Amino acid sequence: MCGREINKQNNQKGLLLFKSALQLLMVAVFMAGCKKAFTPVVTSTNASILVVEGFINTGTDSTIIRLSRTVLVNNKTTVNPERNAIVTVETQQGTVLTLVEIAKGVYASPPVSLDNTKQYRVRIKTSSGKVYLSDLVSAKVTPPIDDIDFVVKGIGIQIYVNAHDAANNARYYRYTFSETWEFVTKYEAPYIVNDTSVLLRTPEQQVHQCYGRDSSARTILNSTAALSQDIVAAFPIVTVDSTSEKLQRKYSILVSQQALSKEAYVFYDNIKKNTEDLGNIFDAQPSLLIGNIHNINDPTEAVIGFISAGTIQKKRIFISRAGLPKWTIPFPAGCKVDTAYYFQPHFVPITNDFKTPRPHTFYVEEALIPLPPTRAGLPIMYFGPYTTNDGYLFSTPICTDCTLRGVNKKPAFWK
Amino acid sequence: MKHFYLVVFYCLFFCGVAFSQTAGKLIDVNFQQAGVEQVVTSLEAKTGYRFYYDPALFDSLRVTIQVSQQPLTSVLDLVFKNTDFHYAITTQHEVLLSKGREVQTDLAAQLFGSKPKPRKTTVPIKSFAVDEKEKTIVEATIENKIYDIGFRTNTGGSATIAGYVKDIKTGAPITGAILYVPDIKTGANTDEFGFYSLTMLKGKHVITIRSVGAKDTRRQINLYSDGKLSIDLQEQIQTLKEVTISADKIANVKSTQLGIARLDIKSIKEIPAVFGEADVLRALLVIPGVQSVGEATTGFNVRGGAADQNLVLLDGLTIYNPAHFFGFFSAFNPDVVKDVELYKSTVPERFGGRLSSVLEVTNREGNKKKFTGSAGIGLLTSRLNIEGPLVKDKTSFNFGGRTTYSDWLLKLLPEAYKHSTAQFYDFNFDLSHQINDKNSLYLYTYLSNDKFKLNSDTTYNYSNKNIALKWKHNYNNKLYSVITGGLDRYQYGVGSPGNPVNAYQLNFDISQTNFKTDFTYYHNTQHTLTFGLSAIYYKLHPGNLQPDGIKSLVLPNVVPQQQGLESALYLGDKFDVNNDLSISGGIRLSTYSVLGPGAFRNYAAGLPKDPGNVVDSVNYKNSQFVKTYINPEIRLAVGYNVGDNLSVKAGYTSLHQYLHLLSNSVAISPTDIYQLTDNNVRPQNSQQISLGLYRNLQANTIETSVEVYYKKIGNYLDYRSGATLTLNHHIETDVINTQGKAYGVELMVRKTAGKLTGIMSYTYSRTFLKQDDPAVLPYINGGAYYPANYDKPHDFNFTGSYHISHRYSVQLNLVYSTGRPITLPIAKYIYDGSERVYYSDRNQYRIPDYFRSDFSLNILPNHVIKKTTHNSWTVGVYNLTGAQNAYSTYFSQQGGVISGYKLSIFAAPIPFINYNLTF
Repeated sequence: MCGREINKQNNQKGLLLFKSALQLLMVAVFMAGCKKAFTPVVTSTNASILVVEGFINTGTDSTIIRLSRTVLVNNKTTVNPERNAIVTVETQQGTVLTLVEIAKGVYASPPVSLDNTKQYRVRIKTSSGKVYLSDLVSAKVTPPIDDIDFVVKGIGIQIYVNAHDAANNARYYRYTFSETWEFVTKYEAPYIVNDTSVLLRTPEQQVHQCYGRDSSARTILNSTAALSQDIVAAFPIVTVDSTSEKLQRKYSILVSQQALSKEAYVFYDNIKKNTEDLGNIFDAQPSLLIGNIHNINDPTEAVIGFISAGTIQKKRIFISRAGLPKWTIPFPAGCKVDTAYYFQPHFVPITNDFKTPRPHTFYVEEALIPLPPTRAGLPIMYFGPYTTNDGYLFSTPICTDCTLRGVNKKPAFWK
Repeated sequence: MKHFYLVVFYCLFFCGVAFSQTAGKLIDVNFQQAGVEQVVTSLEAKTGYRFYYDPALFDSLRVTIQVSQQPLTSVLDLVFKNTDFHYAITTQHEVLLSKGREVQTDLAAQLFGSKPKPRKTTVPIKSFAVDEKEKTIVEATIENKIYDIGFRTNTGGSATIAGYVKDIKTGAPITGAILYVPDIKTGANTDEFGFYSLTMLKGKHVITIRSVGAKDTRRQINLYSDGKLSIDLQEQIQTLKEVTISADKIANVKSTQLGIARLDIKSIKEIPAVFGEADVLRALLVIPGVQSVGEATTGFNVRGGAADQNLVLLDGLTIYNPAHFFGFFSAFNPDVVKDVELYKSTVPERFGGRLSSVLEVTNREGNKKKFTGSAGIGLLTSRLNIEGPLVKDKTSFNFGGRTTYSDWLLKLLPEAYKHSTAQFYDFNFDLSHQINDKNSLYLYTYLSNDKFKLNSDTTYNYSNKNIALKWKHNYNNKLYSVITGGLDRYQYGVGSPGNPVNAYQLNFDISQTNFKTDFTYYHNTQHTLTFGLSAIYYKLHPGNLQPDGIKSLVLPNVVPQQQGLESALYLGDKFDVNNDLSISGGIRLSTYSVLGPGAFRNYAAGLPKDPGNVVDSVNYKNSQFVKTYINPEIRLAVGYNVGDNLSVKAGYTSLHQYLHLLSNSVAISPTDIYQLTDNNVRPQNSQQISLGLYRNLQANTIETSVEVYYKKIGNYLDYRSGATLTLNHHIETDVINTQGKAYGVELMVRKTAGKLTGIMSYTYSRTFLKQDDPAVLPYINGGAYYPANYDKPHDFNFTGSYHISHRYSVQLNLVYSTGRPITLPIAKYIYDGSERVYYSDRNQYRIPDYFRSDFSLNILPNHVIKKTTHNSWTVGVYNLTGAQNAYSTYFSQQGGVISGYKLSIFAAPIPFINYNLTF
């Protein structure tokens, strides 16, 4: 039944014009077109390509290398760490650093400074015994970030950096950032329900004020190669929307600046331009990644990743609500407060059948508020007793529990 | 025998009475280029003598004399001096004029060739010859007649005869007819105007004339000096049992050109088409070396070239988008088209500007004798064609129109498709006017328009608009020129008026103004020279996004206009070294100038063309020259005959292209935009060498050929991943120059006569591209060659027609080809904070192989010639076996899992029916 399937497919959003036209014709004129499963032989074999991410930090920080392997496109999870490898940093003369696996597939060295005048590479020996070596790269010293600032742009703020390299050497820059923001939930829930009773939360248990975190998911590159001086002038890093919770109270961003070699720049540029379209033939043709890591015994083996060496410069700024326009920042939609009766806080599955008297049940009068089975709405405040039973107002977790989107512990750097 | 006696009688009479009397009266005459009629009338009036002669014999006579007070005999002596006309004066005051050759040698020829008759009246009756024709077979009379060409003034040397070959019924010129002079083994072909020119020694010759679909005929001439001879050919009545010797087949072996395929509309109509309506462009796919990325596109790839590397000309009009509805229908009306000719190897030097091929679609010239027409009705489209003379034998028009009415079908669909609409139409209107012997004017116009809505409020429309005026002027028998001026335009628009806040209109257009002069000079039998110049001025608006309505918040975005001037100067010579060896060589100096206004960026050398690498940006004023590219091109073809039926040909062609189609998808879409060459986007170039072997069998009814080619393509545009093509102000940041190579061998067997006709071809060809521009890293597939999107190594085509009787014929079409290459994602991973996909090397996988078979039955009108209308029917089935060929494969995410899908468009047998009416 090809025709029906096509109808189904039409409901997908974002179909390209051309495809729509084809389908229209298929259905319109003939009812003869057909969409069928197509499983090319390729997708059933896992290439399991080694992915190497990280860089040799010659500054005072740790060198962190993440090893993973690619998974099949139709896999549900993308995480596939490469464990138990031996990762070392070496010069042409020999090993200078040995990394240890601090988390699954994450290998780190103690914070040691390296000689910036030397060339470095990474040697990886996997648990299967294969040895990979990155090309020797010179350490590239990153100039400091001069400042980070923001401008109000449209309905948000744009954060930008200024930097310069007086020696005119850096030229190619890559940026990453880490955002932290303080926020509160719409309702404060001072009570906590344990199996037997309703208690006041301790300061450690508070879920009203939290700190959200996010990090860059885009590859951010900048080149000053065509300029007469190596000056990064007001280069935009990220735009924060005015309606984002990030700007609710106080926002902080830590920008990392890394000077890249031209080859590394081109590698990241390519990663950036490679879209994540999944092989639709109406999309742009993808291009292959070429890194600088090779299997020493099989140069033809594909390895994803580019190892460069050098230093990183970081800078953090804080942006308070007070310094921003008077934007209305909405809370997550659908925050309703309702009443809840408390009789005995044993958790009992809740049904919509309210006509049946249910003594000894903690239930919700309003059936319209859905309660996730594992995470009941949190009592907001005590408002009884005015009936025979004690009662509380309550709202949904997203409106009351900030730990769903952050941590309630203030980060050490927060000020 | 009767004629013989008459002639003998007159000869005896001449011998007896010639010069036996002199007319005593003195007269004054003054003739300036006077014809025989004028001379005779004047002399009769002045002398009272009666003249008897056959006007047909004296049609070449022109007299220029001025005498006073001379007797008639002296006047006649002067009139006929240096000619081989004779006169005799009888005692009854009758003057008998006759024609003969030098007395001592040619009396016998005169006896058989001329037929002077005594006439009772002095006025030569024009219908004299016609009366004769009606009594006997027309061709016999014409063929036996000896035409005197030129004035009898000179002796010795060569002379040139030229003229037109036309269809006797419609007056339309016959292209590609072969004129051959057996005694000196010299020949010529007619050009697209039906014009020919032959240079040979003066004297008596026989010219044989052959053309496809016309009866072979011959003309006997007596060549005195340069002169004209126009020849009318009669349509060949198809006799199934007779072996037809067709000019085309001889041409196949004899001409130097290789890699040329011509399909006339009759063969195109015999190829089953999906909607039953003959598809001019899809018919090309039966030609070896022509491929397509899919069956729902009229875009075609010739010998490894991209679809935008074909120059599609409709009578000289450049058609940018020769397709309706995304390519499901070709935009040419099969009822108006006469034939198509595809140059896939040696492109004549008068063409340029595209890398792969030149496709010339020629419409019929309107009938110059009477009004005729035809109409066709299909499931989705209808067509109408009317043609006829405006001034008989001088001016004619040809009009064709086509439209669709598919909306009725769309209305029957389920809700999800019901609100779609699709409309298109196209019109041709051509005029041809013969001003006089030396001058002809032609007007060509074309208009096509498409508009559709795919169940949303977004409407798409696109349109071709073309007009050209052509003036052909014959300077003399050896030299003529064609001067053409025209305008070609293509535009599209996308509009979405539904949501007032987001309403927008996006427009694109390209227009070109052409001027072209082509000269052809028939130097002698050995050399035919062609030369000329052309200029094309391009104006391109790459994108204009505007809010639609006052409530719209869409910000206007206009990509600045681009301008350029493409010009060329060319010279070619077809040199017949001897009867077996001929060489066609030409040079074309092709130039392109990038014109302002605008800001033109310069990028740091050796670095990717990124915004970060801009060195400076220079502003140019309107029409200021920014940069000029000069590219000489060479066209060379050599043909050598090994015996009568076998020939070997070789060719070399180099070409440049300045106009690039920016298409990131596999198939051409009407919303693809064009880009002109500028200071950053360089012209594309190609070079091709090819070799062919041609052999005709079975008295030229079967022609076979093997052609091999190797081609190199430079600076073909590919795109960086994630390239934005629409509204891109700096397209150079997203394009990559790639190099290509293509090679292949094409085998073809073609049978054009007899009960079974058809073409069978097999092609093995490969097309590879490679990207190793150091400024754009990384290289695609490591800088190695990878197969192009249309690389389909094995390609087999059979299209055959079996004529059961004059009225019924069945057609079968078989197509097999290797599946098109694709790139597939083979893995995913996380890098730099995001999920990424790892692709296979580009185009390392293929969609499944393609196979299709079609069948149709043609029922032609009965052959009762008196009937005012004739009906014909075509019924058939497309994709007879219902093969589910993959049109495309793609991957989409559903429920968190990425799965592959295969989309087939004509996945079931599709019946069709088509009705045609001619009147």
